[in-house]
This record gives sequence, structure tokens and C-alpha cells, in this order.
Amino acid sequence: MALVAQQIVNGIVVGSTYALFALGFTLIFGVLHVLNLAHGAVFMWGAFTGLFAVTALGLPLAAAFAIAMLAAGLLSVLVDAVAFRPLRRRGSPEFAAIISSLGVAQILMSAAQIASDTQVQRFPFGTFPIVFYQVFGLRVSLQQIVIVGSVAVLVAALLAFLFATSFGRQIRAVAISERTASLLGVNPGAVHALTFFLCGALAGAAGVIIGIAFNSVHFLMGEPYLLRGFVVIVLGGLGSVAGAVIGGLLFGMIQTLSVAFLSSALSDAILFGLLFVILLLRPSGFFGTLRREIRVVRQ
Amino acid sequence: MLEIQDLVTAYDGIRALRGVTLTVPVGAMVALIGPNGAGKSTLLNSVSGVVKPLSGRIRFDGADIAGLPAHTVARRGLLQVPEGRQILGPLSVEENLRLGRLAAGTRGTADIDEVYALFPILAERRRQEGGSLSGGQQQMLAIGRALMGRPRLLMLDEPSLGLSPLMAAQVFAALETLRRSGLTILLVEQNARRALDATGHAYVLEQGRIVHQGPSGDLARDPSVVRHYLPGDDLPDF
Repeated sequence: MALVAQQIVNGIVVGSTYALFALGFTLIFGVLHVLNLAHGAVFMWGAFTGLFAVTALGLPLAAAFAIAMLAAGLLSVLVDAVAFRPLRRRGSPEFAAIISSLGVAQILMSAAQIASDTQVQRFPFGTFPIVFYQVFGLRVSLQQIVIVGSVAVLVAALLAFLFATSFGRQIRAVAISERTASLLGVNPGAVHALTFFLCGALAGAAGVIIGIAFNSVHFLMGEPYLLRGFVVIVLGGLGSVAGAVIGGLLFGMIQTLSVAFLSSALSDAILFGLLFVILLLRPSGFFGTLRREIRVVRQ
Repeated sequence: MLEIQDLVTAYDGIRALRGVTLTVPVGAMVALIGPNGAGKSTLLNSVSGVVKPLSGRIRFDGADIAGLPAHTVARRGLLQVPEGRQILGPLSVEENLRLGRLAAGTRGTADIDEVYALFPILAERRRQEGGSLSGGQQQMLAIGRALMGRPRLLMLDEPSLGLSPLMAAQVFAALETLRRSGLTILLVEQNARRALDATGHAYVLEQGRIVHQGPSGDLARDPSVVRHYLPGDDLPDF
């Protein structure tokens, strides 16, 4: 029983990072109705920026975290400008945007591969203090607490921004109907850029967290997250903010439990099998329809 | 206030507007009537910047606005209440109204209580989802939302479409109140009788061209207009 509880705790920690990654992925889909396949590459560059800030600039981790979020946010705006905006202007089908974002992802990964000389990079020893606590017989590290805490703060900040500010209202309005929003004076181009910035910043935060948690930063690290992020947002309902959070946590727990009690080789098979079953039984996801007030996708 | 000259707009090479000239003077309420597919909505959308006109001039308050993006046109105070209301369904009534405030820009913040005074039902339903309102209430919300943007010219596309006669009468009563307060209005309506009764001047659009224009009272008596647009005019309205 204690072992199960321990795995659930570990699952929540891993799942919160999936949630952070998936939030940006799902929000872009909710507002622009496209899958941004460069989201994983933005996440990876966030990790590299954080690493660079710590190793080359000698900055404290908190500052590196902020810089990584800013840089990934700006990179994400650039991805929008290169891969999506020209297609939007021309009214190209959404499929074209998938291909062009895939192309941008490849370019970003190649650039990282060259910059890192195809090596796995690591944060210097002691970047994050290694401290463990015993809570009700469970082993919890300071790092795990900080990860879950920072994800909770970021999710709360995102929700407050979306639902309690004028900018957030404009984002939701564009998600529902770009034309109607523009007739009311909302500048859709600015809303798109703002959305990409927010989503990129969240991905950058996730990149630094993952880079430190696994003490490994490399040019391919975004790929598995892109695939898992896809399962998470389908699980949660495409475009659903709450669904991405709950889906991420569920995904993390299923993954850690299946690794612990079945086999690590089976875990991906189980998770992608889950994707298959969801798509068959409930293609709108499990939370999209229940939490309509949070959902930002077109009704 | 609004001067449209020789406006041509095309979709995929098909000309929906074939040289439209139309003027809305300051403080006037002007009607634009015509059959389905005549190009009435295309005209409003060309002015609003939703579709780009092919040629012609659109002057608003002396400045050429043809081809400007929709949000810029809205922020200049030229607001459209689109066909079918286009309420942002998942947003609350109050959020829909607050969103409308954006277009007011530097013309000063609009007062939500003025809108609630004009349409008291919206104050009662302020926390409800916009999409849960009845058709007539949604039309009031769409008009109230545009008013939040402090319009200098309000364009309405078929405000009585799909409404019960009672609701339509309420909406038109509100428009009359707005007209008397000095708001300039361009009204597109399928109910020609109502539109001609409510306005001082009217244009008739057919197949992308203006075929009649004049004081609304004269058009209501013009046999060719009566035959096409006011069938059964000797019968009661509903």
C-alpha cells in the first residue's frame, strides 16, 4: 500500500510537468484550432536557455527559470510568425499548419543539435539542493515539492489571466469566434501572438523543470513530450484548460504505476492504447464537455 | 458621416456588390432593404473590414477606411451588430458587454448601467451564459455590446430576424430611443415595412446595385417597391 502511495506521489510530480507542457499545447489548439507540432522544440529550447543561463551566465536558478520562460515565449511567437501566420492570412487548410510547424520543429531541433554538438548536457552538480523528507512514511524530495508548487502557481496564474483580465477575455473571445471578436475591436493578430507567448513560456518552464528533474538536456528531449502531450490533451478534451491539467496528472500516475508494477516497456503501450480507446469511445475527451466554462475551444 | 462610393466587392471572382453608392448623414437613421442575396450583409462587412472591397471608396467622418482591418474600423466608432447576433455563447452576459468596451478606445469608457437601463432584462441575466438567452434577449445583448463601444455609427444586420413580433417591436423601440438620443444608424432589414416605418431615408439593393432610394415614406408608397417588398401591405403587419 505504501508502495502504491509512493508511486502516486511520484506520478503527481511527473504528471504536473506533463500538465504544464500540455497546457500550452491545448491552448493554442483552443484559440487557433491548429496543432503546434513545434511545441516540443520550444520546450527543448527553454531547457537549453535555462541551462545556458546557469552554466554560462552563472545566474541563480530562479533567474534562469524566468529567462527560459521569456526566451521560450518569444521563440514561440516567432514560430507563429513563421509557421502559422502566413498560412492564416492565405486561409490555408489546418493540415498545412501541421506540416509547417513540423518543419519549424525540425529546424529548431537541428539548430539545438549543432549548438550542443549532439551531446547530452547537464546542469552543474548542486544546482538544486538534494533534500529528502519523510511525510507519512512517504519519501518526498524538496525538488518534487518545488516542481508541484511551481506548476500550481503557473496554472493558477494562467487561469487568473484567462478568466479575470481583459486580455484573457479577448483570448477567449477569439477562441469562440475570431470574426465576432474583431468586429468588437479585438485585434486577432495581437491575441494570437499573446497566446503563443503564454504557451511558449509555459513550455519553457516545463523544459527547465524536466531538465533539472532528470538532469539531462538534449536536442531530442521535446519529442516524447510532444507525443505524450498529444495523449494528454486528447484525454482532457482538445482546447480544455482544466482537461490538460487533470489529463496530465492522470497520465503521470498511470505511467509511474505501470512502470512500477508492470514493466517500463509496457508503459508506453498502455498509454498509447489509452489514446486509442479514448478516440474510439470519447473523442471529445473526458473533461471538455463537463467543464464547458473552462473550455476555450469553439463551441 | 458615412459615404460609400462605387463600392465593388467580390467573392471568388463573383461580384456581390457592383458599384454601390450610399450616404448616411450624421444623426440620421437610414434603412437598406432588399431580397436575400442582394448583397446587404456584404455591404456591411465591406464597410466593417471583414471582407476587403475590390474597388470604390468608403469614407467615415472624412477619412478613407476601405480595406482597414475590422478591429481598426470598430475602434474608430463604426460598429456592426452582425446578422444572427453572434453572441459569444460561453461568456456571461456581463463579459460579452465588457468585451464591447474595447472598441470605445480613446472615446472614453462606456457605462454598463446605461445598457442595463435600455435593456433591463440584461441586468437580470448578467451572470448567465450569453448563449442561454432567448433570441430576442441575444439581440438586445448584441446591440448593448456594440453600445459599450461608444459607436458613432451603428450598423445593424437584420436585427428582427427570427424574433417574435413582440420581441421585434421591443428591439425597434430600443432603436427608436437610440435614434432620438442622436445616434447615427444604418439598418439592414428583411422586414421592409418595419424598416421603412422606422427610418427617414432608405435604399433598396438588388443584385449588388442600388435600384431605388429616397425618403422612406415615399418608397413605402412607390408601386414598384410595394409590389416587391411590401406584399399584402393592406393586411395587418402580423
